[in-house]
Amino acid sequence: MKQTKLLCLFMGILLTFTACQEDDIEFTREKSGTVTSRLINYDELKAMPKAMAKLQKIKEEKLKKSVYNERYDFTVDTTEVLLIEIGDYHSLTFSIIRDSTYDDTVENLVLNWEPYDDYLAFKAEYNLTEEEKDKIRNNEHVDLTNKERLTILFSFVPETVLKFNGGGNEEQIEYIDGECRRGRWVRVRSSSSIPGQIEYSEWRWVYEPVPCPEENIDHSWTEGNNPGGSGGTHIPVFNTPYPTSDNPVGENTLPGGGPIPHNSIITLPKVDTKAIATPKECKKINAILNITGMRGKLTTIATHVNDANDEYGFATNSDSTFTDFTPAPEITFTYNNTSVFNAVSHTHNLNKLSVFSFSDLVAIAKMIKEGSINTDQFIATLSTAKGTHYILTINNVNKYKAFFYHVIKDFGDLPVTERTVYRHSLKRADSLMTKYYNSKTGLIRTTNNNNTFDLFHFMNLLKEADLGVSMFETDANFQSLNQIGKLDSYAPVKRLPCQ
Amino acid sequence: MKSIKKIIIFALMLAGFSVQAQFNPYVGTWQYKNGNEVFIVKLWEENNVVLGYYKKITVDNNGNQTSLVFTSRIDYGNGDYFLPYTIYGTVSTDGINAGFRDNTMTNIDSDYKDGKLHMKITNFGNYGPPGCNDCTTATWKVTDTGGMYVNFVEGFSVPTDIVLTKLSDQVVFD
Repeated sequence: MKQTKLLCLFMGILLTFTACQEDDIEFTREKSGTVTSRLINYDELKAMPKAMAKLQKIKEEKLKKSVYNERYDFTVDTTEVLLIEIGDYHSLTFSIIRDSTYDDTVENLVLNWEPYDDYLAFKAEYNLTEEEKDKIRNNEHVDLTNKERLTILFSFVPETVLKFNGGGNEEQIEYIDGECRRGRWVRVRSSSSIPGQIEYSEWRWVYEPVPCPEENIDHSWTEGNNPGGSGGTHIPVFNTPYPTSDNPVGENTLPGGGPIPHNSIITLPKVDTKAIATPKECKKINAILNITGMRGKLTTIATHVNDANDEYGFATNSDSTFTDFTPAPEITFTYNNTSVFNAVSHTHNLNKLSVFSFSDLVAIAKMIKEGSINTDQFIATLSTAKGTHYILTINNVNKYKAFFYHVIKDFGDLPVTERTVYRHSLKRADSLMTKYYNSKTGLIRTTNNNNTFDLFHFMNLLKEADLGVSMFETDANFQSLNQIGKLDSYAPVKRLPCQ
Repeated sequence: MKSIKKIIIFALMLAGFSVQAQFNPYVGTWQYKNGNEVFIVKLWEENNVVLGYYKKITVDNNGNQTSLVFTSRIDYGNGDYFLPYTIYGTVSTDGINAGFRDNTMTNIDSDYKDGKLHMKITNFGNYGPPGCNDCTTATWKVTDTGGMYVNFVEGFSVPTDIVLTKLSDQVVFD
């Protein structure tokens, strides 16, 4: 028995060794020619209709709730695009912007021109230090080995899930031609043909031979029940409910049409000039703050924060006029079916919270339900007796609606199938409200005198609720503007200036 | 043998104490009577959170129910209840501080009006929960949430400042 075990072990080692010596299978087409790269602006990008169509498709994927995936939860900066060309090949590299722009990871969207005259979308990630980012900004050489990762961004159609195991990411193992192979994008070249220019990366889709994972061996198929066989038998790696294909991935047809092999991907990291706040949200805020009289009104209500009884507030209408709210212990807004607001501003007077209250967030949800705010442009401002001045924007109204589903929807109007969603939304909101705002046991309380502590937990709430909002800090005159964010629940808040 | 018995008795005492320590004096059925109207609150506990429903009924001279004025446990048929609870909060030495949902108001344009509930057993003595001297009466106060209001309607359909009397440690839904 011992001898049999030793023999099996030896055979196993031998097979592994043999597998390692085999060549990788590549499903990419090499390119030749001189590499050129340059930055193009949005106007030039608009002249590339297929690229624009691809961006639109990515945007649509992002909005599909049923296929929501964190990978698509980003904003693509189209103001400055890196164009790399080699002969008839080119790629477009965009900066990706997320709420948490404080992460060290540089994320780029790469549209890669394919032989069948269309683009494939990829996400390139680079784990870079601030020093390395600065070097790239200065066109200095940075060795990207083991710092990069490339993933494909496909539609989440079942066929795609089948063929690419969730998007052609790493760790994909397939059973091809009697071998287990792991498909992944491999950075095969790292050089620049332009003296003094930063290096670029060339990626190819490669199937590397790997030992078959244990779970892919069906031990029931042994010599005993499979005469003539010996040991376990490999079963298909992708045991999905979808129809399976016998062809290796590389021979299948892509969702957009056209066969693989396709072009290798040539890109280089596109690092933002420096860490800044989300430009879109900054622009939104500045557009409102720059309305004639807006800052004056904000500073005026801020002078009332020490009022013993009343809060003050006003709304900024879509026609840039203002509607004052009656000063009261709590600001009350009655929707009259005519006003549409771009901003709602209010104060927290003495003995109130230093940040937005949960009821403030609910009130915004009700405004969305009533259709009384332009969610694309909306900002909410807050000045408090504790000396804080904040601005909140909605960067993803679908997320806001999802969290406050029980506020946005009327239970009686819902089909039975949606009622569970309503109750789930309500329970989740109650749980977070209790955790953060319970007057005795919550983390954010009126009795707290530490504004940093309140802000720390408020940001955690926003993250935990995945509310789709951005938070900014400003001053009493609403001149400075810093986006607030946190990497995770333990990280301190960070402030990034609007440019 | 004697020592084994002592250990068992000690363990049983500990177990008894443990049950005592976990007892939440707020859990149960409470009521407030005003003439022939009775306001009833039912509280239970799940994962250290106190949940509850409430209702108002009328009774005859014998205390038998004659009508249901309102209930927050609204049945949409086949046991499909509107909200899983209408009181949601935590217990501390300050009593229950909870979110309160009034889904029995008829003059609002939404499913419910949010409020805040503070409920506190009136006679805790020197113990604090759970060791109250008299666990049978508690103040009940419902207030507005604070914060911005949209389409605000004054008041609630429930009593907002009363003293409740405990009827039972049990909760039976009807």
